[in-house]
Amino acid sequence: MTSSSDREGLLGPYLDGTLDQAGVERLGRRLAGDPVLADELVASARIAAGCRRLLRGPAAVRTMPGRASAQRRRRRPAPRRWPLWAVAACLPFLAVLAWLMPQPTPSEGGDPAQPTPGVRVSAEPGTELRPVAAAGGGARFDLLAGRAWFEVDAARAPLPVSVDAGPLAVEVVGTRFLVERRTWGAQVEVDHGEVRARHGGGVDAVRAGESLLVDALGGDFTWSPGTAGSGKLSSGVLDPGGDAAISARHSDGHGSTSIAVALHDQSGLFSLRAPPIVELRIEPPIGMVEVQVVIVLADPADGTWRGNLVAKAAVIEGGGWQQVVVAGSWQAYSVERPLQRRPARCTDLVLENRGNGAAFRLSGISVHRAP
Amino acid sequence: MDSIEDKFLRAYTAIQDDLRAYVHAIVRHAAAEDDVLQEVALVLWRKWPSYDPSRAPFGAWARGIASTEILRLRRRRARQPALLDEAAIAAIDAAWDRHPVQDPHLEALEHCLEGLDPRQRRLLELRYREDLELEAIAARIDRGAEAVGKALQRLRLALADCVRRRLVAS
Repeated sequence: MTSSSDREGLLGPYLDGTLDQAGVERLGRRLAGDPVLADELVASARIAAGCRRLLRGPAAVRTMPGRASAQRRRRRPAPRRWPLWAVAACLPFLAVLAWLMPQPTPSEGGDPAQPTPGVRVSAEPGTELRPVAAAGGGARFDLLAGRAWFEVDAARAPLPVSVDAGPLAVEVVGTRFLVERRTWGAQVEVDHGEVRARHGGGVDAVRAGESLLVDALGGDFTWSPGTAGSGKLSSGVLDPGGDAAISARHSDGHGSTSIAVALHDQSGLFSLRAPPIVELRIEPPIGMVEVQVVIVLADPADGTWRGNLVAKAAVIEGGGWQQVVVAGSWQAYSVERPLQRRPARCTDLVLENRGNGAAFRLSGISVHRAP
Repeated sequence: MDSIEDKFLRAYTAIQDDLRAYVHAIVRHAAAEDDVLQEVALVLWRKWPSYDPSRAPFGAWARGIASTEILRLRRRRARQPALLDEAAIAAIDAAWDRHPVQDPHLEALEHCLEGLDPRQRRLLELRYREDLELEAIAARIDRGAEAVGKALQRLRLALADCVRRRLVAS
């Protein structure tokens, strides 16, 4: 039998990936003869996997209620990982933002700040978030740009707590949620509890595990192809035999350009394996570009959205090929709809933006398996 | 009448979290775990018509397929934590059978997480939300990597104990 301290000394490094080959072999030999050690490994692994699931947000996919509703209330994107080069590219931009911010209330990246009792806030670097006086009590924040996590303790916070993100206003009683405001619009993702979201003259309840995405005017966020400033490939995008489409939209403002590209595989059978890589080429170089890739599965038979939504945002510099690795819980696809292996490739999407006189082209998008 | 697909989805959804925990126990590498789980889901779906519930519970059947995929992964990918040998995986399998996951495991864990103090919670968030290695966590909280590893393992065991107690009480 292995002693308790020996077990701790073996299992901890093993589960955290720091046990060397010899250590793993030693653990393997002991596991075979020590059921207590194996039991502890099972318990620890369940806790580790559970923590990953709970702290990152759920990976499971639910059937969406219907197309019209699903466009408003989409599955939350997977947590975004910002590559170092993207952070480095942002630094000058962030410095300007920091200079412009008179009251950078929330902490940025470190431990959550508590600007108001019972309200904890963590913000992505570059986020502009300001507390404002709330008429009639409560606490109110204006999110001018960026994304911030809120955790509201209903027992301690002055209620209601609201966050105004331009086209989207979020009002909460006690919950954990994220609010994001970008040039293309805004979204709220609710981790725990429920919020009321006002946008475009309407009010939606957004519950735990759901997110609400609205465009810059507070309207439903739609990936409408064929309109000015967007592009579409109607066939042969993901699968020569499938009914797939790619659509895109972009918006300008605040010195940056956002391009959101959605890949729809309407056959409902998706072929991507984690992590797919989207290659983007933007010509001519137009400075900093924010790219968001959204992958949606839809069932054309009954108009039901069945798929996950996986998004990865990255800030890239125009010019040359750039790779965006799409992060997400890919096993989730197999929950909702079993996968089939298909080659996935699309090319020649061209976007033209004449709005500010600077044309750019987004072309040669390809989605392929990671090596 | 449920379609074959509905039946599969219901069965898979029920075991998904525990299957992930099983794969994690052996692979311990988030991206590789995703790869394995996706392959396993594909194989399960292909073999679903031949699945016989009287021969093995679906979870045990899925674990058997997962262990095969993990051994294939060992041959494909060199850059990841060392993998246990087949005898050790069999020992883990046996332990898994001795301790079937109880519902609602995740809800119990969520309650237990809420009972942690902020420093403990932060440690888990750095490890599992931000996916940081021990060295990176150590640098962030100004402690040694070994101490971080020990603290994490004690936390995992304490949480396992908390979950067990909650499930018994409920």
